[in-house]
Amino acid sequence: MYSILGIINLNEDDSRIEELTYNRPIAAIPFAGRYRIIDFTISNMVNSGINHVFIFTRDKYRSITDHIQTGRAWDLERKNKGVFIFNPLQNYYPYLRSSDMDIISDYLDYIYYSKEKYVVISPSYFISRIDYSKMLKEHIERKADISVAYKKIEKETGEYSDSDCLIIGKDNRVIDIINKKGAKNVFMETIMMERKLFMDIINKRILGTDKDLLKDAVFQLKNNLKIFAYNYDGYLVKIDTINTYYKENLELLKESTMSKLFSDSWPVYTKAKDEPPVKYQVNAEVTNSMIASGCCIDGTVENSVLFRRVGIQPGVKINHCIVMQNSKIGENAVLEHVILDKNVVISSGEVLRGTWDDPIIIEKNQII
Amino acid sequence: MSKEVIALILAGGQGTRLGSLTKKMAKPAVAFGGKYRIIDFTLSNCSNSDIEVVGVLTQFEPLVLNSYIGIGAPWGLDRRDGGVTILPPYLNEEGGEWYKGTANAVYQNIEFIDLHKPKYVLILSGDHIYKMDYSKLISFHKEKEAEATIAVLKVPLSEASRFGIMNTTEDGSIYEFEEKPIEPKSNLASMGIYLFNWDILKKFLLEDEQDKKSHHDFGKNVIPNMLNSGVKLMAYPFSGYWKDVGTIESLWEANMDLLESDNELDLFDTNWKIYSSAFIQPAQYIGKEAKIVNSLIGEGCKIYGTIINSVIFPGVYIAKDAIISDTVVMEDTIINESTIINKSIIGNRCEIGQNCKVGKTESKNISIISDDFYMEGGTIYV
Repeated sequence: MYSILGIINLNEDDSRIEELTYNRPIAAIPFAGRYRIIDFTISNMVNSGINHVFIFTRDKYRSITDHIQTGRAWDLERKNKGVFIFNPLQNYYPYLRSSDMDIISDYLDYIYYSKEKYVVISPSYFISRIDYSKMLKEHIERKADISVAYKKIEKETGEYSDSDCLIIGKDNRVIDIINKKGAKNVFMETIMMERKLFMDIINKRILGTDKDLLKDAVFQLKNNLKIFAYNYDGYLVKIDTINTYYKENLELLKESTMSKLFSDSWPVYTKAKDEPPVKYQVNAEVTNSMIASGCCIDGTVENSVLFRRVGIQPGVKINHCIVMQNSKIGENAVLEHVILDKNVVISSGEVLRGTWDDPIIIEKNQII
Repeated sequence: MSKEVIALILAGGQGTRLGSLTKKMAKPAVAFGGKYRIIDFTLSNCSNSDIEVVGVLTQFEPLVLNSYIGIGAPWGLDRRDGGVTILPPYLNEEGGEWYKGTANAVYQNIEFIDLHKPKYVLILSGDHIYKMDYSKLISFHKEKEAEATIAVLKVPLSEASRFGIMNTTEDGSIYEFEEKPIEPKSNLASMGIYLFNWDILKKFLLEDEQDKKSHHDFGKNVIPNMLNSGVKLMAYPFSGYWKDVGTIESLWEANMDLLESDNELDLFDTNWKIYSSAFIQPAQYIGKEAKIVNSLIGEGCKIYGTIINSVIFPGVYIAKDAIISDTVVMEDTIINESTIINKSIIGNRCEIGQNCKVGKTESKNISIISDDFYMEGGTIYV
């Protein structure tokens, strides 16, 4: 097997999910009860046999550093290789570098000194179960210069509305990339090539590209290089709006969806928090919900996702809610269609009602 | 590098009274509380008390325990100098032998202890469930200028004859030790937690080893010998939850104790976390018709049935119309539709078929299903 250097590119547009990204990048948003969004991409890499991972942040990287720590949770605490976080260099340029090409080029020597023959570049906000080793196998078989992953969707349902799509010709060659409603080959922003070619692309002068974003630079080369499309067919969601975040979390309450994302053969790893099991008290009534460890429940919870160490007092009724870590809901409060960020306190008797299409969001550390 | 204090955890016990639960593992590795193993409490106490060197003395069926502890990372005991070390019996030039008793087990590891040049050695048991700040015990020991300190717990006088009882003077110094006395003079029971000045302990261990009649046991031999020789022994009073889970009944009771709303062993206390090797499981899912009351449920469970007063470990599947009450269900077990389980302990990775009946609420005994058991649908097992 050929070795792959995993690169997680966190240059992700968070303008449409602003309420949850004041203090964190999309990659660090809690998802599915006990994970952060980046856990899925790192776990995919680890499960694909990748043991050398570079994470390139753009801004608000404190929560990523705190979450990844030494990488032990993903078995990426290695004497050689393992996980590295690269933040944009500050006090080095007169302005904050925001293009991923610039951020990566500041660390090109790390990529140069890596030993892996291939690299795969992936964002965090596409949550999938892609197996990069299968992608590499196809990449080699097709003698591709570059492979890009996509998923073919049956009908335009809106959740990928702002995604780039691929136009694919005969033999799976990529003809072009478009950003247009109705397109069906959703580009997962996952790109594979030899490490040497990757360095040449980042080192713009060599191949003559003039783009600031990696994906633009790659597709600028479509006439000179063989770019092939790799078809991924599995769980895929893109979390870059409040709406998709809210709905895709609750969608996991369906057994059929849940089993597409989680299985024993493809575990998702995350940082351990040493929480006790969930305590259900005498007044607990919980149905159709996902509950993370350390919660203490003495009220009614329906159709909701509760993250770690959430407290639900007697008389509380919550329905269609997402409650993040360490939030506490006081007696007799009623919440419907609400997202509570971390450490929120809802006072007794409070009533909050959003709608399915417009959930109420309570920011981190608020007391209502 | 010398350490002021090192801890040794005696984890070699076979735990025969736990029956089939310890068929393939030592007692300290037995699961407890919907997530933990018994030894997690002692290891977490060490970690939370800033004890940096911990030796775990294993002997009986050590595989599960050894691989569970590993390099000690879950408890923060993977340290550059010291950390956790597994200490099984070993062979040397003169041969070698099994650990003959608690004192002999420590005797055989004198070299390990000397390596760290400690001033004090803390002897702990790997099969007790409690939360204790050992640093307070150590301060007490220093303050009283003791040579040995034994942690004691007040037990009801009626039960005192089941324990090793310390008779003390007003200032807490021990003048007499009675193992399971028929007519106890006090209700201060030894918790099996000893802090010794290493030089004193070493001298007594060497002497004890020469004594052919000795059982090589701390309670039976070493402590009485120290008393007879005028060593300054102090009793350190501990109050709080403490349980020796030596029997099926006490293991079941200890699990049920966690469900009491005012239980003293508060697992939710963030100031004294109990660490455990993490499970790789998603959050638990509670189905549309599920009903869960007064229970603890672990990660990755899928619950579609009814659970009352029970402790459910990670990865358990409980089907629709199954009713589980007053029961402990361990890891990755599957309980199928319409099965009713009362007052039982169900082992790891079992599968219980549909329409089974296990255990009886009014029964005095706890029904046990051992690990990896497959029960055909329709079975009645009481």
